[in-house]
Amino acid sequence: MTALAGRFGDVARETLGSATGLSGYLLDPGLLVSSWLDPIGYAAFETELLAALGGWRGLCWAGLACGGLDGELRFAATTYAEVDRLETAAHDVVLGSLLAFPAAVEGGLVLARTGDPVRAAEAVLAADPELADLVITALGVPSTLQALAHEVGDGHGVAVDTGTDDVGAAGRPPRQLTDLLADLAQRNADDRHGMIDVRILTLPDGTRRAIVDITGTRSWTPLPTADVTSLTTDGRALVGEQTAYEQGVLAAMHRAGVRPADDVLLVGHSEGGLVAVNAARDAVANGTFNVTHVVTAGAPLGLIAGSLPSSVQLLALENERDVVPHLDGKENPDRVNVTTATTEHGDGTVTGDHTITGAYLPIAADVQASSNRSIRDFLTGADGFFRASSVETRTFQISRRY
Amino acid sequence: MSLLPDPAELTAVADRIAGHAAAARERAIRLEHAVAATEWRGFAAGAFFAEAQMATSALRSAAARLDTAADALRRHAERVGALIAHVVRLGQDGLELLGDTFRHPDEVLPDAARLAGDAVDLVGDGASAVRGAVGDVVGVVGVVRDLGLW
Repeated sequence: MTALAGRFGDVARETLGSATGLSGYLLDPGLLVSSWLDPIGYAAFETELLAALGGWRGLCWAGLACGGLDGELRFAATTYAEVDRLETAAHDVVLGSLLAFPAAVEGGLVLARTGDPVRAAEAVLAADPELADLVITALGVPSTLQALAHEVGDGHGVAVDTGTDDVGAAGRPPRQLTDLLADLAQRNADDRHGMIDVRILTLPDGTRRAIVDITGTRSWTPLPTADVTSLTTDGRALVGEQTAYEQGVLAAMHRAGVRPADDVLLVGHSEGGLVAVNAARDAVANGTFNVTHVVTAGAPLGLIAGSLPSSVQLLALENERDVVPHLDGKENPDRVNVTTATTEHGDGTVTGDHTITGAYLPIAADVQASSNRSIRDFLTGADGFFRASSVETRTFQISRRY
Repeated sequence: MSLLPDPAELTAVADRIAGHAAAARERAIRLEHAVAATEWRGFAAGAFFAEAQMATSALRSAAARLDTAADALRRHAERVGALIAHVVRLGQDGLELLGDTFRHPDEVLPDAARLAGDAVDLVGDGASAVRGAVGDVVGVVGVVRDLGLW
C-alpha cells in the first residue's frame, strides 16, 4: 500500500513539475511577440494551454488528484498498521489473562503438593511460557545480559581438531529433520564443552553439502573463562554481536575443508542456535561460506532472526513449554525466510523442556510430519542435505583465548 | 528581442508541449498497471479504484488538451511564417519599384503590378488567417465554456 502511494506521489510530483514548466509559456516573450501578426491564433493557443494546465481535469488537477491519493493510501497504511498493533496487543492481554489464571492455579497446586517453590515456578512457566516474556522484559534480562557480557572480554575463538566421528548418527548421512537433531544430541552428549562438528556430505551426483552442529550453553559463569559456551557468549549473541564462539565455528569450517561454493546448513541448540544465526549472517555478508539454511532448537532469536539475509532460510523449532526461547522477550519476526515451528513436548521442568532428546527430537518429528506450507517449503528447499550418499564428520572443540 | 517572431521557435515550443503530453500519458499507463497489480477487495478498495481511475483519466484528458494546445501553436506558427514571408516580399518589391522609378522608368509598370500582386497575396493571407481564426474562435469558445468562464 505504501509502495503504491509512493508511485502516486512520484506521478504527482512529475505532473505538477510539468505543469509549472509549461505555465512559463503562457507569458513567454518569444511567443507574445508573435501575437501582433496572428492575435486570434495566439489567443486560441493561450486559451488551450490554460485549459490544459489549470482547467477541470487539466494537468494541475491530475497532479493534485494523484497527490491526494498518495496521502490517502499512506494514511490508510498507517491506520491499518496501528489497528493491527492494537489488535495484537488486545489479543495478547486477553489471551494472556485467560492463560495466566490456570497457570497460577497449576503452580499453587504444585506448591501445595510438594512445598517446593522452584517446582511451583517451573509448573507456572510450563503452563504459560508467555509469562516468561513479560517477566523477562520487565526485569530487563536481555539488556542486563548484554551489559554484563560487555563487562567481560570475549577474547577470540580457537578451533581444535578433535578427529573424526563415524559412530551412530554422525556416521550416517541424514535423511530427515530428526537425523539432524540426533547428531546434534550426540555432539551435545560429549562431556567436553564447546564441541561442534562439521559434516561434509557427498551426493550421488558428486556435489557437496556441509552441515555444522553447534551445541549450547554448558558454563554458567559470567566471569572471564576459556569456556566459549559461557554466559558472555549468550549476552553478546542474543543481540546479534559477533562472538569468539562464532569465530571458532567459522575457523573450524575452514579447517574441515568447507568450500565457499558448498551449500551449508547450520544446526544449533539454545546458545548454539544464536551462534548459528549470527554466523550465517556474517558468513554470507562477507562471502566466506554459502550458508543457505539454519535450523535452531530452543534458541531465543527474536532480536536477531530479522538480520538474516533473505537468501538464508531459517527454521526455528520452539517448545511451547520451554522458557529459553523467551529469554529475548520478543517474538520471532514475521518474515518470508523465517519459519518458527512451535509444538509442545518435555517433562514440565525448566531443564527437561529444553533438552534436545527429551523435547526437541520429538518436536522435530512433529515438524517433519507437518503439512504446514512454510515448513514443507523449508524442507523441500533443504532437500539436498537429506540426499547424500556419504558423510564425513569431523569434530572440533571451540575455546576462547584472551 | 526581435520584433519579428521566429516560427521555428514557435514550432519547437509546440513540440516540447507535445512531449509533456506524451509523458502525462505514460504516467497514466504506469499508474494503471500499478493499480491493476493490486488484488485488493472490498468497499474501500472499490472507492480507491474509482478515485485512481479518475486521476488517470484526468492525466489522459490533460494530455489530450496539451496536444490540442500544441496543434494550435503549430497552426499559429504556420500563419505567422506565411505573413512574415509576404511582408518581407512586399518590402523587397517596394524597394525595387522605388529604384526602378529613377533608373528604369520603363519597368515601373511591371514592378507596380508585381507589388500589387504581393499586396493581394498579403490580403489573401490575411483573409485566410481570419478564416482560420474563426475556426480557432469556435474552439476557444468551447474551451472557455469547459473552463466554466461563460
